[in-house]
Amino acid sequence: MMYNLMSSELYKWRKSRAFYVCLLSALVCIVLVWLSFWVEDQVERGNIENGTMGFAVMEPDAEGGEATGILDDLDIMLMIQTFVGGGFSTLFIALFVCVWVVGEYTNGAVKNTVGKGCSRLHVFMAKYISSVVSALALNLVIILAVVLTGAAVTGPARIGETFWLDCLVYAGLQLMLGLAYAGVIAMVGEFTRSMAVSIGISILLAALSPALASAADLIFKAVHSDFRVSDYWIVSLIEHCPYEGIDMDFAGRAVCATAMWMIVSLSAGLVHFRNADV
Amino acid sequence: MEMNTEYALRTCGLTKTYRQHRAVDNVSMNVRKGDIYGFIGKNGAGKTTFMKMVAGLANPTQGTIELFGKKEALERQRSRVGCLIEEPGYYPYMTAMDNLEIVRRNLGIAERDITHEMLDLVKLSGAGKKKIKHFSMGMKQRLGIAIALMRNPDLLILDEPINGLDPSGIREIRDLLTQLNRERQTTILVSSHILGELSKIATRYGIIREGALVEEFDAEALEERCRRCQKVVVDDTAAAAAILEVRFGITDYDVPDTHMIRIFERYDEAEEINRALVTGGVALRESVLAGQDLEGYFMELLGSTMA
Repeated sequence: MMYNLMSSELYKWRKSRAFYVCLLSALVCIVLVWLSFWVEDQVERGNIENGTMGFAVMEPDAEGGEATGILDDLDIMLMIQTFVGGGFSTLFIALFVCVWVVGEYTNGAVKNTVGKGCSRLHVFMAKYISSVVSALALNLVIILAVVLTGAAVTGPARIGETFWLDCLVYAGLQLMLGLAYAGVIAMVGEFTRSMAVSIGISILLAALSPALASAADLIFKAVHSDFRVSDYWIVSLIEHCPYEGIDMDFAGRAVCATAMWMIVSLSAGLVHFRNADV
Repeated sequence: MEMNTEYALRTCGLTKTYRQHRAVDNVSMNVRKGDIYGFIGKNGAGKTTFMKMVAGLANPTQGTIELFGKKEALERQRSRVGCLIEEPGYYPYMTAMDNLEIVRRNLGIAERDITHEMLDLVKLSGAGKKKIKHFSMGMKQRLGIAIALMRNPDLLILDEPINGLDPSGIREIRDLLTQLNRERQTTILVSSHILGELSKIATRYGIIREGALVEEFDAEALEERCRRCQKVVVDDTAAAAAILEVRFGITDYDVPDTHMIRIFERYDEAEEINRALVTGGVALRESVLAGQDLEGYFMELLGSTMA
């Protein structure tokens, strides 16, 4: 039965407009950001007139001497961290997973599965797995797009010796953390079963929860405890994941937090799905 | 109950409570294999909630459900059930073919052509590539029926299946249901507000009021109850019966209780019958021409208007 349900999820995924819209939107944003940096760089170097394509640099470098541009100071790894850890990919993951999960309830399609004798355990697991795998794919494409577009814009010479290793480790951690994040969003979708509410809560989670976690850290500190919520909250880990010099402590916490949040979100979502009316 | 009667569905004390409100109250229903069971009740009576529990879409608060003789592993038994409850479920941005393909994959049906067959069955062959968001209500309803019929279910649970259909569509669905029942012995539990249509196909009826099943009876019993007759209430039914037989040769009558006789023939001679009873020494307390159409009978049973 699980095979059948996953086959069906794959079919739905291929036909899912939401996935392609999220993907395309993310790619367009990435290309536009790099393009804007490239244009600014060219203006600063004097290769393009200031104001071209609507780009106006406030203080272009003075004429004479070797002109520098913004791309000289821009690091591809830093850009990956900005896009992936800065809320860009979490936003698109939240949007897609909410649409993916809540879409089963919006027009009652879930009745066709549950009412035909498919086990509720398997139905929810199939949806959960497809949600996190889709998020993984989305995140991976975003990272690849940032790397490839960045390399095209900055030039291959800017890629240092340790770049690929750092990129691999960072991407690996972020992709892993992204799985747990998607699982939490899937749980939110299952609990709310409302598109607007789930998207609202998910965006709030992505935007505000790290600040709330930090506030909780202060409370623990005030009571003389060394425990830090932000060390284990998935969005905080995504935000604070370093892109170089990743130590084993962070990696260990990331693995533990991923496992914990995936277990919690899967279990809570499953209990709710089994007990709630469809 | 016959010892060899097989039941497709049996419930015992099935109850569903939402906070303080009992939507379904201790319903014990018996649907025999091969029945077309007409489930009748006002809006909000509990029909849909009951059907949802049977189909596994809602969890009962109390009571048991038995599908095809089994109370355990109901999820496995529900693989033999097809249902269309409330509105049909679909993905609006996908085509009819896509929606059926998703169900085909969910159920693990190997034959790919079944999606075409289902569309043909419900007369949607020309609309297979149309997106559901462009479907009319009737077309969505037909798609819902097609989805319910995937994998040839032994038990069909249909909640107002002819909603939104035009007269020819209603007839097609009615013919389809009777064909399934006749050729495949499919048991059908169907609710509808259109009592005239239901009476054309149902073999058994259940009436639900305020969550409770108030009555169950076969179609023959319903016909009997609705037969046109002259009802007379007398002090001595034996003497009255003798007068009817000797004076008028009336044999088609029954005595439902100690003071009532129902006369099913020659009720156009009511005046002469009344006079004969009185002159024969029988005290006549009431004489009325009775008999209803099905809708009138159900209205009386349900106590007020259906809407």
